[in-house]
Amino acid sequence: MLEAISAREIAVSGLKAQRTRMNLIANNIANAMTPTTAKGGAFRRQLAILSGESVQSGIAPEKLGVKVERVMSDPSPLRQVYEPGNPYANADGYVEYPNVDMAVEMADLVSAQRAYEANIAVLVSGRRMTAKALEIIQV
Amino acid sequence: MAFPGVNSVSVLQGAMRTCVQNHAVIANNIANADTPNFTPTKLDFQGTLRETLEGRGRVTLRKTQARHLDITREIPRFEHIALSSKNDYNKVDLEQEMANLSENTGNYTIYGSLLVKQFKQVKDMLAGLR
Amino acid sequence: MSDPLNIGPITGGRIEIDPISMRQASPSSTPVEGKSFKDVLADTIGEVQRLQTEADTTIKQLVSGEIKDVTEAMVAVEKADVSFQTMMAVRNKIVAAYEEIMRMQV
Repeated sequence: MLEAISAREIAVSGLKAQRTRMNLIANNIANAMTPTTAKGGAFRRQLAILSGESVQSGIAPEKLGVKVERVMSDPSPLRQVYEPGNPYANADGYVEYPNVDMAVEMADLVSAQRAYEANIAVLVSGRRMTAKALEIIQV
Repeated sequence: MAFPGVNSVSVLQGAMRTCVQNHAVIANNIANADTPNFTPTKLDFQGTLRETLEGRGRVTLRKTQARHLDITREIPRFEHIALSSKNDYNKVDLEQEMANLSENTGNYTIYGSLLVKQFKQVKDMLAGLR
Repeated sequence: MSDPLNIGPITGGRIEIDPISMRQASPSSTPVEGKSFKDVLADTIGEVQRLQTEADTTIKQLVSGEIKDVTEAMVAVEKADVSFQTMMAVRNKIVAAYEEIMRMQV
């Protein structure tokens, strides 16, 4: 049986996950032109892998909501830009730039913000429902 | 005739409890709006209500039709993640879930008001007899 | 309705008032069976009960989805409530009147 508290905890897990996504997006944008990192090589776009389970009868409440399973680097190819004069250029005169596409990052940001607000709506509606339940014991 | 043999207070209480469970189901769908391969679920309100009124704790659900996804891949294809504003890789319709959330909260407050009224009538009667 | 209270014609300065026919005052001339006070009370209680049952029914119909519009349930509940409160008010008045009569010195 799903208790009243579950919806709030589920929404909070959603807020945390979307917040993580937004942080990664912000970092991707900030490093969109970073050709070198401490680990060597250009900065790679990072994304969060989310996991969560559908509600089933008898499911344990802890399994509900969403988790950031891990953060991974996008393995798609880096951008090769021909800049022979650049100190970071390789033997063929190409500089490797991050595989960060601004349009994609902005679309992801919008999606994360929308989802974040939707989770807020769950919290707000939960509060309204609790307020109504309190009326039952009022004079 | 709906709910024979059950008084309206029990019916309203059962309906409110079912709304609380529905709230959790919708919350889970919204929290997983961007989870790859996630299938949203929908609470069968009348079925769950009947289970509640008959004293059983089970929740009855309806799974939405799973779209054919390439679920052999552990990691979703990156083009899908890149186009995440279209949300191709899971079936959560955020607008629908928001609508369901709004309807569910509305129903809860309606049943709550009716329940408050039931108790108020009894209290008024007691006050009138004093 | 020229003579609703059955006061009768003014004859020679005196007004004739017939209390029994006043109770049966109606525009028609056919005599009406007067209901005893007990019957009126029973009818009222029956009506209140009917409205309560109707309110309960509409609540259940609303929850089961038979009725989509919440207005019906709200109106039915208020009707039942108002009729009940009216009955309580009448009952209290009767009790108060009875107590006052009992207090009278004979």
